Amino acid sequence: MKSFRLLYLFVVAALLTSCDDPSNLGVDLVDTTTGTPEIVRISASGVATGEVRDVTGNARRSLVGRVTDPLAGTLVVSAGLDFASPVTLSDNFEAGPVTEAELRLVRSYQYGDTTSALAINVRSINLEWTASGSDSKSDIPFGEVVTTVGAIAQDSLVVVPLPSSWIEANDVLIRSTDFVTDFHGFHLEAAEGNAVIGFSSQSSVMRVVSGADTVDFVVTRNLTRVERTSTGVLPPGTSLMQDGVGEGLEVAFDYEGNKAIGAVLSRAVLRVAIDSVSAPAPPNFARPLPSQVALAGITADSLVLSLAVSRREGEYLIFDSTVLRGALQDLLFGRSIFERYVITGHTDIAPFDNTIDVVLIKNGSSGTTTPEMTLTIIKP
Amino acid sequence: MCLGVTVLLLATIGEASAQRGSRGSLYSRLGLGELRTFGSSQAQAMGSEGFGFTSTARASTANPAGLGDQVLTWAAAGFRYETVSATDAFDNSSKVGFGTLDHVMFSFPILTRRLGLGASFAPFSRVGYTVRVEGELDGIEGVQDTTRYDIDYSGTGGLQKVDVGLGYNISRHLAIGANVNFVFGLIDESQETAFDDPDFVATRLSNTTRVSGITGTFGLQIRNSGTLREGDDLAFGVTYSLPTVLDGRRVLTAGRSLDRDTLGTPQDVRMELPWRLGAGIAYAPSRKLTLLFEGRFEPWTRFESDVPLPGLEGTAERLEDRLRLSAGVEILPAGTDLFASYLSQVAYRVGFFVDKSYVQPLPGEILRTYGAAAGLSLPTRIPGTRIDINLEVGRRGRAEQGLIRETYYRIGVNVNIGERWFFTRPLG
Repeated sequence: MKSFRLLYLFVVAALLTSCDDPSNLGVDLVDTTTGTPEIVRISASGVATGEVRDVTGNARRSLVGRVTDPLAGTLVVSAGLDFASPVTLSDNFEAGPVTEAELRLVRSYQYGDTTSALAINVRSINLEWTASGSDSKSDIPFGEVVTTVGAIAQDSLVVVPLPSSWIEANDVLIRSTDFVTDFHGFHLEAAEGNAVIGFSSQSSVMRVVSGADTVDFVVTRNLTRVERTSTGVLPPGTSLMQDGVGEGLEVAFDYEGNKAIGAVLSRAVLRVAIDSVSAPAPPNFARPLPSQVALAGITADSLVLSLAVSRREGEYLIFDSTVLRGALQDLLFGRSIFERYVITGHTDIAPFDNTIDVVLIKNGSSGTTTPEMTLTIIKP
Repeated sequence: MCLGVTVLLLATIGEASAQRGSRGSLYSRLGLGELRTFGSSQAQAMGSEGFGFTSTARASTANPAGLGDQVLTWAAAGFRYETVSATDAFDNSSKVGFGTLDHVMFSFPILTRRLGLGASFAPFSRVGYTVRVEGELDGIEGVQDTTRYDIDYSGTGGLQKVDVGLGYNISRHLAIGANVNFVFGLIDESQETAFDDPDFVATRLSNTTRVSGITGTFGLQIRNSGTLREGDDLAFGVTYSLPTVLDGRRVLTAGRSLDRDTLGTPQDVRMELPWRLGAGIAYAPSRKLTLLFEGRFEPWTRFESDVPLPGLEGTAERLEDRLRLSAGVEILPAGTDLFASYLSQVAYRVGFFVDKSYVQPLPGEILRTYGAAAGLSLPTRIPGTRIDINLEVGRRGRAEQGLIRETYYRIGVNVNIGERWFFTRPLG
């Protein structure tokens, strides 16, 4: 049996000492016409405004106001806010009665004329509504005006005292455990003004004083509705991408007959030129640029999936991610699940910020730079 | 018990081999890979296959006609470790080492020294190489930076052969036999491109060709004793294998292992391997000395394939008829003396061969392998069982015009177990 042990040792030793030392020796014996990476640059065949679902329900902020921007047109923005009492309330508070109630709305965003005075109508919501997953085109049911409050767009805190009539009518409900289910929140809309302001969902509260105890009711759900009622004037060769309005910029590339079809993709980078100088904002007018823009794929079922978020390189937005590479690889293999590719202002990955930020994108017409896809491919 | 240990050992070898992506000769890229020849460990140490050998004293399946001349049941297995050193015209060199399973054989007599059956498993061809090409991909300002990349062109796999055959001794001087040969295997040609910049995804494209087919081999042996002197043995053996049609599929994939994407439609593959002829003379003036002269011819210029094979893309002009010539000698100092010293009972073998490849590495370039083999056959305490340690050194190609010169060293360990089975000892 010693012989077999020796044989076994030989086999194990041989396997363990196997080595592999790749070198370029004998490269002339190999067909090296394949495997070499090459770069294919494809210009967009079209840039057009397209509908894209923009989820605004339960975002980090709610937007309220109305604004007319010479570039973006007129937007009317309203929000629904619902509050909930703490799980436990003091005996004093429960004993009541409620003597004061106010909304304390902490501003976290502004767009438009920063000196504008807004008149905000606060209405009651008397019907059940859904915030989670709802988009900026969803209707928010509302009832009669509870109160109207004035605010300056630059105010960091907007306090909305609720009238005593409303307090008396809701005294028992506010102090009861049924408040969470039976109270449906407030609807906020701007009656006047030329600005849109955003309120932090995390910091804004409904402050209630009852039985001498003061309790903050937190925001439990919110939804922003954005409607564009008129369009603005764009510089030639540009397209407008505005967050929040349910629109995106559809970027189309014609891969038909391109040598990238059927190739393996190592990297895909989309470069989009922006125009930050042709249409400057008027004085005292805040028109934020989005910090990031998403490139999303939209399926036949209108499902929006973020493929890449942009990074800014000078006057360009660069989209570069492994998800984008994977999506385009599927496209090159002829099995893409996406019908359209859209540059949009949001990524819909909760929790997300609500904005109506604006960016002008050069669309290739009138001699402007066309969005360009750079593919690093390897042909089989 | 002995066979049980062997089976266990072979199971371990097979598994371990399958898990390692070994490499080897760059010339194995061409065609179906580097053709392997194996008949018996005895003949291997003599640089030959053993067309004139029978299975009387050791396992041998080189010639099915030899299977009829069996007394013992034989089981044999071999494993080899190989290193390949390559040098190019600029004196650049590389070295790789790897281990492979050489063969597994089993044979037994149905009618002692009249009718016997044998089965074997051995590589038919082997593909194993890696070549690395380095390059730089230009950058695009504001989009992506310049990056360096490596492309590893590699090939693995090969064809395997399972033989099941019968041999029959028609007379003391004439034996015939036939094998059914099942040829199957998978050849994977891949290119993997990896970048220094992690923003680029490494890609791997693989062309996997899976084929199988059945053919037959016929063998004939003519033996005579006392031909040139009293007590000598002369045997002439010849084998003829029918052309082999291999059918299968070729699939182009991207990605690795479980993450592979199939690109395009799998392609049906059909290829026809040529007939193969082997012939040899074994002459033993006495039990102490055996001489062997052999040749193998395979007209690969008749090879046909409906898919391109590496080195043969779009042309059959680079095919050559394979010719292998070999000669060897075995010295067994003890002869038939079972009481001689251990060293006298060791068989000492040496042989030489030249093998003209069936593929030209470059148009008009004939690839020949010149080699020498040697071996020791060590008897064990178990009667009928020997451990053969074989060495082989060979050189092929030349370091000119983009070609490389390869020198390889092989060491093989082979176990031959002979036991008497199906034998009832009479009582009383």
